[in-house]
Amino acid sequence: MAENSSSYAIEPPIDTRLNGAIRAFGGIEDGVIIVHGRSCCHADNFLYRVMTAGHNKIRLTGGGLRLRDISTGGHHKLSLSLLASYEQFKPSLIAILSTSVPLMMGDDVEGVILKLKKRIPVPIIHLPCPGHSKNASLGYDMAMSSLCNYMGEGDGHQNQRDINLIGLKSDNPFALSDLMELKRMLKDQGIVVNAVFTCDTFESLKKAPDAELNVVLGGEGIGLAKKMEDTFDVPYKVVSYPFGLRGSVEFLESIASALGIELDHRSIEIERERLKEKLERVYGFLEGIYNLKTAIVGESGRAFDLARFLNDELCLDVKLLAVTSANAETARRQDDDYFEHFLKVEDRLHLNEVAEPMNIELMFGSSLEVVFCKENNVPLTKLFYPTIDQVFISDYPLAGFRGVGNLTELVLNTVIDLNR
Amino acid sequence: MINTNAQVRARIYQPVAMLVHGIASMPAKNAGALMAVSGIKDAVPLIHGPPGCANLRQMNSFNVSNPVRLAPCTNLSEIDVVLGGETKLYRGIIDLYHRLHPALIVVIPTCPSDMMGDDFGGIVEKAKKEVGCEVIYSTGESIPGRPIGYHDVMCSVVEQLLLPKAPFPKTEKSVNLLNFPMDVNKNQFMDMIPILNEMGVKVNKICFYNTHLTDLYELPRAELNIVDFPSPWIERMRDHLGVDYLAASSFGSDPDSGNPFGIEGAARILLEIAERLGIKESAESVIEKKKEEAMENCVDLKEKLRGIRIAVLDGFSFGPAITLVSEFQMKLEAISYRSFFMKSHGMSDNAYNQLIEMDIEATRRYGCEPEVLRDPTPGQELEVFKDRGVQLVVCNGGIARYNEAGIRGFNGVKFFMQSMSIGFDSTRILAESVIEALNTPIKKYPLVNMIGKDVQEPNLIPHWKKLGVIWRTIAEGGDGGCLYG
Repeated sequence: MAENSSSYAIEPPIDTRLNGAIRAFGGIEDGVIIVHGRSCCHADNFLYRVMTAGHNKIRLTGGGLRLRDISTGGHHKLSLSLLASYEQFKPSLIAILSTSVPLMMGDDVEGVILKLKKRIPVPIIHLPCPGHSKNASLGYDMAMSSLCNYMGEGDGHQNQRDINLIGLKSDNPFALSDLMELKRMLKDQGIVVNAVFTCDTFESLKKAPDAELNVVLGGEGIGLAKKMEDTFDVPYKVVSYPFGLRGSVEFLESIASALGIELDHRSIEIERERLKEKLERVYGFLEGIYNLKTAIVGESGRAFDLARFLNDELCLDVKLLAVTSANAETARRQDDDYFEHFLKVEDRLHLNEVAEPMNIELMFGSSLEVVFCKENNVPLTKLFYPTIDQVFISDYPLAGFRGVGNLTELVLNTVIDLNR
Repeated sequence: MINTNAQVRARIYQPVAMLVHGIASMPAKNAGALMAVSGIKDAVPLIHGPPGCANLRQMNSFNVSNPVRLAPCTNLSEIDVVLGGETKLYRGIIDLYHRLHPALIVVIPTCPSDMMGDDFGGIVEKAKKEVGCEVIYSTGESIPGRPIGYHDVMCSVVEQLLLPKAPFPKTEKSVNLLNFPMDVNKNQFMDMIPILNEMGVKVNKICFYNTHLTDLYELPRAELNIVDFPSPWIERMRDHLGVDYLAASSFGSDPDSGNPFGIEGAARILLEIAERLGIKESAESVIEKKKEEAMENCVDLKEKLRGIRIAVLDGFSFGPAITLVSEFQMKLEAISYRSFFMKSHGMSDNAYNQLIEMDIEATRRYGCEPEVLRDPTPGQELEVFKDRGVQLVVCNGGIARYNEAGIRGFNGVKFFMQSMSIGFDSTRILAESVIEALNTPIKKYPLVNMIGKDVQEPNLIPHWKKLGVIWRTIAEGGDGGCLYG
């Protein structure tokens, strides 16, 4: 059942083109992002970046436009920002994301790039990202697709059993651990990860066409996969984000099938046995959480697959699946049968109004669900962006085989914690 | 001293707050405006702009550790940017009222709505007739002063809420105690309240402290506003509502008359209040008695602190260091100035040098001859501190570096932000906190020291410093500063 709101005053979820583009470019380890706009646009995004990415990984600066720049134009400050960013970080790529004010002023960003081309000998990408342009997933896709123009610097032939992962967002909770786990699972099957979009260097991303297959996680970044198929003849496969045992096996099966290889079922069996032993240790609690009324609030790319794991495998009762940012897969999946109510969140106030009467007993979301959960006395597990009040430095995957035990542990600890 | 959860969070977030607030970015008008609205418990903001101007607003650079609860907006689209957003604003005010039933809606403009030229005043007047609450609109950033956006909201409170209801009856011998609407600031004047009461002064309102709309209407009843710094809305209250003000702090002026902290500072401020209210004669004896009691309470503490050698980072006159030297006779051996942070906030070389000269002059007034270090390397700084036998560094973090060299640290900025209040008791609390720092075991092998730091600014990792340099280049190279949005 799908629901929506039609209010005039809304509390919007984080779902803008700008946010999506920042998250895509932000994962390029040797890139720099310039948010060309007023201080608000830069400061807000910078703050979220600091809170969700590693403190040593923030490569985001601003255009520093002030009121007076609105009459004179922002090209001068953009030039300063470009030159200083290049000088300080010597990046391999600079992405300029123009926000409402320079776009309304008509700043000639392309002209500035051309003027500085000799002094800054690295690719500079410009994307318009005004505040009214919604859909973070689209912004993410646009940013990723723009990278396609710089690809093709590999050895010119596709390496068999090499794949690219597309749609891994490095600022999601536990994302880096997830990546390590996926690489481990794939390695056990003799599959090598070539490039990760985006949690990689620009130099590695440029060699993406060397892979035999693009694997799109949860439908995030499908535009890049389609473009690479057209340009470099690299096929793609959209797979579920591998939450749960079933999700992990399906993930491997999909990739193996697309590559035309046989899966090594022995390694999967070993993983299954390891998990069984872990689950036996908490058997009583697994019975206890059966049909716990649950809500999930998060991005489409991971929320559906988490819901499927929680409902089908952990046996919670997923009452509400609320998607804060939709992607190309959302429409196809919103009538699936592992949740009761579907909501595309346009207004967080409306989300609260929908969730409140459901008597939710456990919520999966981000730091932005804290207020609702406190006011309604609902335990909250933070697995989605933006989680700004936790750090993630341990090796603790949520995805893949190892993720099953970890997710189970997180769920149980959240609901049985006496401190809550 | 009570360590609330909010204070602990604020302490943990302090280094990050420093980075996002001045070093590598500058919070702008909406952040300041939301901070002001969040101080009024039954008010809700309505950001008139596209979702991009509102969707990240739960986090606020002014108050990183404490997210804003609500940040609704009018959800302007591309079409609205061309045709105007007045209808959405009108309907948004009515919708928000019916959904949340606030006592006050504060409309906050954004860059797009400002550039579109929407008629805020006209729409707010029209919508007010349809709702059962007050509605005001902020002017965005038309009022200069930091924090930007904050002053606009508060001036709107004065001009749109209070002025139309003037004149207000006055309560004789009464004051308002006004701080910034941040958790860490709310105790700033609390220590004064019992003494003011004893002096015969009525505390009319403490703002912001569980402040509601009805409290705002009561503000003009006071004879005097007590604030830490002067600000435009306080000046408007003086000019239009006849509530004069007393600014307790005056950063950069004479350290004796500009510092409201410590026993002497508190006595001076209380006397000034009494004088302004015309009760100097009767209040003098109360203040003197309280002052003597406070000094008596500090005798033992003074004994423990006298002669202990300290070094101070980034300034002596403003903050706890001057109190430690003037009232507890701690021995100031060195001051180390690092210019990066102040200059990141737009301070010119000239102003910075003047500040240092004034600071050094102040140390001499208290009989100190400290070694003065300007932008030393961490190695040079430690060498001087060790040579001079420094036992405690009053710093703004980075204590592990001193600990490793066998020197203890006291985070003066943290104390200043969270615990330093004007009144007699805070001096005792300061002394006890410093004694606690002196008794805290030294951390012998701090993991944090494994992390490479910048040579000029050892509280920043090189990566943060680079971001800071970029931001300063834009600010200075553009037009001399990014201080005002």
